[in-house]
Amino acid sequence: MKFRGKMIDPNCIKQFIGILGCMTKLGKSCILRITTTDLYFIVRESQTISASPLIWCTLDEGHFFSEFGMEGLSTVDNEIYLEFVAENVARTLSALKVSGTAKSVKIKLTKKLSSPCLTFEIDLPSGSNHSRLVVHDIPVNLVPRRLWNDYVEPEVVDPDISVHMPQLRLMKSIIERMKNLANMATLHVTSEGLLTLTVETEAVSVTSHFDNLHVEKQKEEEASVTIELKRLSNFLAHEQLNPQKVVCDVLQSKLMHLNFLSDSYSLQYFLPGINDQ
Amino acid sequence: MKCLLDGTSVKVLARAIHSLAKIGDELHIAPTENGLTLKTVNASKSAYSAFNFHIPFFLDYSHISENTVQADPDDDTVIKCKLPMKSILSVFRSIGSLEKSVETCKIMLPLLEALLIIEFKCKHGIVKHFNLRYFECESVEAEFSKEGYPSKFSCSSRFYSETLLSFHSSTQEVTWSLAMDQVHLSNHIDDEIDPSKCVRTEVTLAKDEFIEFNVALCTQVTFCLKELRAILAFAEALKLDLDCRMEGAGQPVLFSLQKEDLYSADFLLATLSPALDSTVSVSSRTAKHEVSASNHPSPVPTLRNKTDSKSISHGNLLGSRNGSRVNLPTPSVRQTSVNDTPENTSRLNSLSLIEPHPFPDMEVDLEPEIQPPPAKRARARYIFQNCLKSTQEFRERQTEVFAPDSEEDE
Repeated sequence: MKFRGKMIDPNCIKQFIGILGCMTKLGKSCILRITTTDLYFIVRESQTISASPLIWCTLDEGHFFSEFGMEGLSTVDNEIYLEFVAENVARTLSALKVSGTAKSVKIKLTKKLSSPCLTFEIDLPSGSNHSRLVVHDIPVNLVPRRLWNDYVEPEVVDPDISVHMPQLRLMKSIIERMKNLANMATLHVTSEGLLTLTVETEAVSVTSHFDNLHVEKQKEEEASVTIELKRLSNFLAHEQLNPQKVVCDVLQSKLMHLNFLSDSYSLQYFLPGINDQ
Repeated sequence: MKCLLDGTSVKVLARAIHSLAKIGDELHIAPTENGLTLKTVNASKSAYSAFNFHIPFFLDYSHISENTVQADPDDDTVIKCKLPMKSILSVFRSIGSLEKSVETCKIMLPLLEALLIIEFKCKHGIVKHFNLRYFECESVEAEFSKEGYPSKFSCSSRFYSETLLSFHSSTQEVTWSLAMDQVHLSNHIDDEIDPSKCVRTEVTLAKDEFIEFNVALCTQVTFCLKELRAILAFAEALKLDLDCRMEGAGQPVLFSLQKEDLYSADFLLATLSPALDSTVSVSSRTAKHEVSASNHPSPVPTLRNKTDSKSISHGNLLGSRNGSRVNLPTPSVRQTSVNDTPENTSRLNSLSLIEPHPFPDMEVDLEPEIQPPPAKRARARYIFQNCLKSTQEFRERQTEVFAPDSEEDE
């Protein structure tokens, strides 16, 4: 199995780091799936009450990499599945982010110390035309073929209502405060473009209203789902991508789905609803 | 000692104290004829740091403490003292507010009281007066010279900072591998951890990136980043270049900086001694065992010769049993190989810290006397040093009686 990719565009590098940074803070281990056309990052949060939330991110290799080459497990299954500890990558990348613009970033699958690693070779500019080479070796595990089916792409959601989310930064700060009151919140969306988030405790009930939202699709008049604010807050806190549009799909009592729309990548966050007794 | 500083100098002094505070828990103040020296040693005796402020740094400076009550030139002495870092740090804690309000600063070590007096004259006529009491007058010295290091390189402190950014903030130790035309930094992974499970980072710095680069020996040196970050915090704030002198694994590394004739600083850091291959796995287990066994405070405090004389100081800094991280050094500079026993492989060598020794010829007698293996010999020598001294100093100590014997007959 081989993999080699090189990024030279500073914007792409920044975006890639942003995506990776977002992924890696959300779960203990992260799966990287490499195909001939795309890179997929899959994070499944651990320790869940019910069905697990899932982050699914697809990166178009053509956009990010100037050079890309891979050879999968076999000609039939021409894909590579790697598992790595999210924290390791997060640490490496925070170092990269702070050190300014890199001239190029090369990612390779290598074998060092007789175990597979994902090697990031970063070329940093430094004063007077010199370049400094920084190499990070991140240990990875190869996921065996029989487990590949666990990481199948989730089905396309057929939502009851789909709206454009308000500014994520705004939502983040509001949810941050609401989660201190209670963990369970009810998300309610109407076909008029009104989104409300309600938290109830014994003493008080707090509702945030966001209206004039653009409605994408509507099958029903309204839909609501109960979600865990802690998870949503966690996701939003680490999200650093500033996408232009985020679509929120709600499936009555079942699912809240956030879809980040962008040309070069797609990031989806599936947050299953909690069934109240 | 008495000195007067202006506003900008106070800031520099405050930054120096912050930097020293990150390294050690106690500040040693030693006035000399040429200026004021602030020193500290870290708890495991693996880092020594000294800031020297020369006379031009001060508006006014006098290293002698005069007898203010009765002008008697025979009584004037040079007072050295040792303070807990916390107390002096609380005076200089906020550099921002010092910058905004302090106009001049007077620091005094009077003869007749054991106080460090700091007085800030601030804007709007405000005067802040601090009396910091000290209890001990020990000093710490490290014997080292700036010559004699085969490898030396220097560059701006910002350059070092940027390089270290590539390493995650939790990296504790970094290995510097020197070659003829480059320096290669990599994070050091403890022997006990499987390296294939850790992220390994390497940074290569070419010779041309340095201001000065002179490597004679190709070698590998590993030391802690924590102290280096403290040094860089000071150097970067004042935009200074940092010189680095290295010799080899196990030998201390010297970082120094200088600002014209105003002040200079030296930082001596201990490095990991080279591991002995055959006994690595065994030694790491024994090392762990030793760590848990010796978590009690080292015997240093009880055996220390506390003096109340202000000039002679016997700080006992021959080394502490801080787990197995530290090799007990002998008082001469280059005998660290004696202590390279299997139990202490790849542990930080403590610096050869020396203090003015009143019995300089004693060490020569000890060597042939003791038979057991080197580490035990050094340990025994250390623990029993008072017994082995040729003379004992007995001094009548004047002590104030706070509570007389209740059973004493009138």
